[in-house]
Amino acid sequence: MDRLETKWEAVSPEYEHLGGRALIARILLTEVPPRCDPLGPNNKLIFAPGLLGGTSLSSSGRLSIGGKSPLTGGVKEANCGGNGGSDLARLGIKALVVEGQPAAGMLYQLHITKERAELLPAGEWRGLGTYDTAARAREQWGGDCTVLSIGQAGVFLMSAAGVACTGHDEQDSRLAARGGLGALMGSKGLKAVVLDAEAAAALPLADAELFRASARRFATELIESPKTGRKGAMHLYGTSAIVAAVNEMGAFPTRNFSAGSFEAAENLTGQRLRELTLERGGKMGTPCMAGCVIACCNQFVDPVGNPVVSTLQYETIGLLGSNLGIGSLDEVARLNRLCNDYGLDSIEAGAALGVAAEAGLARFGDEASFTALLDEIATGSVLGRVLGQGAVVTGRVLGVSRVPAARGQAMPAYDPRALKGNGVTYATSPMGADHTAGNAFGNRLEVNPLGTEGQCELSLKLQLGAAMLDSTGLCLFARPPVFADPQLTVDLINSRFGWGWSVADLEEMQRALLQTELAFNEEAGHTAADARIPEYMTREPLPPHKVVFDVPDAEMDAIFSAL
Amino acid sequence: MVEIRIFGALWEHLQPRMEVETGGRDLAIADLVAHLGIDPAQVGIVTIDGRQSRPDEIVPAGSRVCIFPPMFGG
Repeated sequence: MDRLETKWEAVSPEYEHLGGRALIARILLTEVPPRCDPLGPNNKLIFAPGLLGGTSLSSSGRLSIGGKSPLTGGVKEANCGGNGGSDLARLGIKALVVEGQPAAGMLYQLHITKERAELLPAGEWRGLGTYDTAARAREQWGGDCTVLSIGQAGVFLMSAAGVACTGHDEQDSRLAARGGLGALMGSKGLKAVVLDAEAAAALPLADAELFRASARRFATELIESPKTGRKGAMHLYGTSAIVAAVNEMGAFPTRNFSAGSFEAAENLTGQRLRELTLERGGKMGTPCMAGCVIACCNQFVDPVGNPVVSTLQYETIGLLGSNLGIGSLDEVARLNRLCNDYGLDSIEAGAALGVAAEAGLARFGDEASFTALLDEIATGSVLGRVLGQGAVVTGRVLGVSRVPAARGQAMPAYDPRALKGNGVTYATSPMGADHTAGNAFGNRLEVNPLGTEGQCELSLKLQLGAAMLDSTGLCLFARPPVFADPQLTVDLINSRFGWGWSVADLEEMQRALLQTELAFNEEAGHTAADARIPEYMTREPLPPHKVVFDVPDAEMDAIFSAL
Repeated sequence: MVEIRIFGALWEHLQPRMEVETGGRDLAIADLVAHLGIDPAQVGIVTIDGRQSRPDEIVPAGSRVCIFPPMFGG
C-alpha cells in the first residue's frame, strides 16, 4: 500500500497445498516478523478462501481473513459467510495479501475483476458505516459485486473492529469479526475490497465425476442429519437454537459473566426468534452462501416488518443480550445492527459494554444506555476509543477486574466455568477466546461439561477439527459428514486438485496448522502465562451450579504435546 | 412427579411443559424419553436440574428434566 501498486503472483510451491486458515498461518510465519507492530507496515492482511471455495459444494464458501492480531498480539484468522470466499476463489485468487502502508490518513478501495486489480481513492467513504459503504460500492460497480468493508471502528484502528462482507440476497452483513482485523485493514488504508466475479468461469475439477458424487453425498448427509436437516434445530432456529440449552446448563453469560443463567432467557430463545420473525414477515432458514443446504440464517424484522439485521446469531444474543441484562430480541437486534454498521465484533463490543456497565457507565437491562456507548465508538470520542479497544482495555481503564477474556480477546457466549471444554479452548487455542476454534458444546456423552476430566483431550480433538474446516472453507455447521468420515474431505480435495492425498495427509495438514500458529505466537512473545482463564473465574463460583474453572494448568500446558 | 420441558422441533407433537408421575419407580432418562413417545434419534442434550445427563441416569423425583433436539454450537 505504500506504493499503491497491485500485482499478481504465481503461488509459491510451499503454499500450494494450503488454503484459508492454514495458508494464512504459513504466510504469517514465513513473511511477517512475529514481533512486528500489528498496525505497522510489516504486518500483512490476508484474505484467503478455503481449498474447496468457489466450487458447487454446499457450505464451502467461508472466507478466511487473517494477520497478526492487534487484539491478541498473536496469529489471527477470522472467517465469515457471505459471497467473499466463493468470489475470490472463482476469480482464481488463492490469497489476497495486503502489504505496506499508505501515507497517513489516506483511504482506498481495491476493485478486483478477473482481468485486473485497481486501487482507487475512497476518502469520501471515511465516515460511512459498513452498510452505506457497501451501498456506495454497489452504486459504483453494480449490485452483483461483493463488498468487504470496514466501518468507523476499523478506520479508528480499534481492536474490536471486524471486516464486513456482503452475502446472498438479504444476508447483507456477515462479519469476520474477531481479533481486530478491521483495525488491521484500517491500518492499511483500505476501506473496502470490491470483488466482481460475474465473468469468472467455473473452477476446473481434476475428477469431475468423483467431485460431483462426493459433493452429492455431503449434501445428502447434511440434509438427512437430525441437526442440520430440514427438521433439524440448526436449520429451523439457526445458531440461536442453543440459547435455551446453554441457559439451562448454566453457561449463558449474564450481566458481565456474573451468572450462568438469565431470568429472561425465554424471550431470547431460538423458538422465540422463529415465532417473532415468521409472524412479522421476516425470514428463517435462509442461506448466507449460495447453494448451502443447511440454510441456518434469518432476517430479523421489527414489529412492522422492516428489516433490522441479518442474521441475528447466538453469540450476539448472548453478548448483547443476557450479558447486558437485556431480555428482548428487538433490543438485541438493534444493538447488533449498530455493531454491524460500525464494523464491530459483537462479541468483543458486548463484552466491553458489560465491563462498562459493571463500572457504572451503563445500566444492565437499559438498551438506551448501551446504544449511547456504541455511538461513542462510532464518533471516536475518548470513551469510544477506550470501548472500541475491547474488553481488556476497557476493564483496565475503568478499573474493573472481572473481564471475561483470554489471550486479550473477549469470551464468546459460553461461560468457561460451566462448559470447561470451551474454557480449555479459550485458554490454549492460538486464536485466544474463540469458540469457533474448538466448541465443546453439544458433545453430549463424551465429557461432563462441569467436570475437569477429559476436557483437554476433547478441546484438542475439536481444535484439530476446526483446523480442517477453516482451511477448506467449510462452515462449522457442515461438520457431521466430514467428521464422521475424513475420507469424504480427502475425496473432495483430491477430485478438485488431483493431489492424491490420504487421510493421513489431511491430518498432517491439521496438525501442521496448529504447530505453525503456535510457533508464530511463541516468536511473538506469547508464553504459557497467556494460556489461562482469568483468575477471578478460578475463584468466584458461577451460579446456578456454583462452579469455578478448575482444569489444572499443567494439563492445559501439555495439551499440544501429542501433536 | 418430574417436571418435563421439551424444546425445539420436539414440540411438534408434545406440550412444551408437562409433569410426569413416576409412581415411586426408578425411571432412567431413556425410559422417560420412551414413555413420552420421542424417537431417541431426535434427542440431543438432556439435563436433570441443569446438569447434562446420560440416558441411563435415574431421574430423581421432584427434578426438572429438559429435553433438547440434536444441535451444536456454531
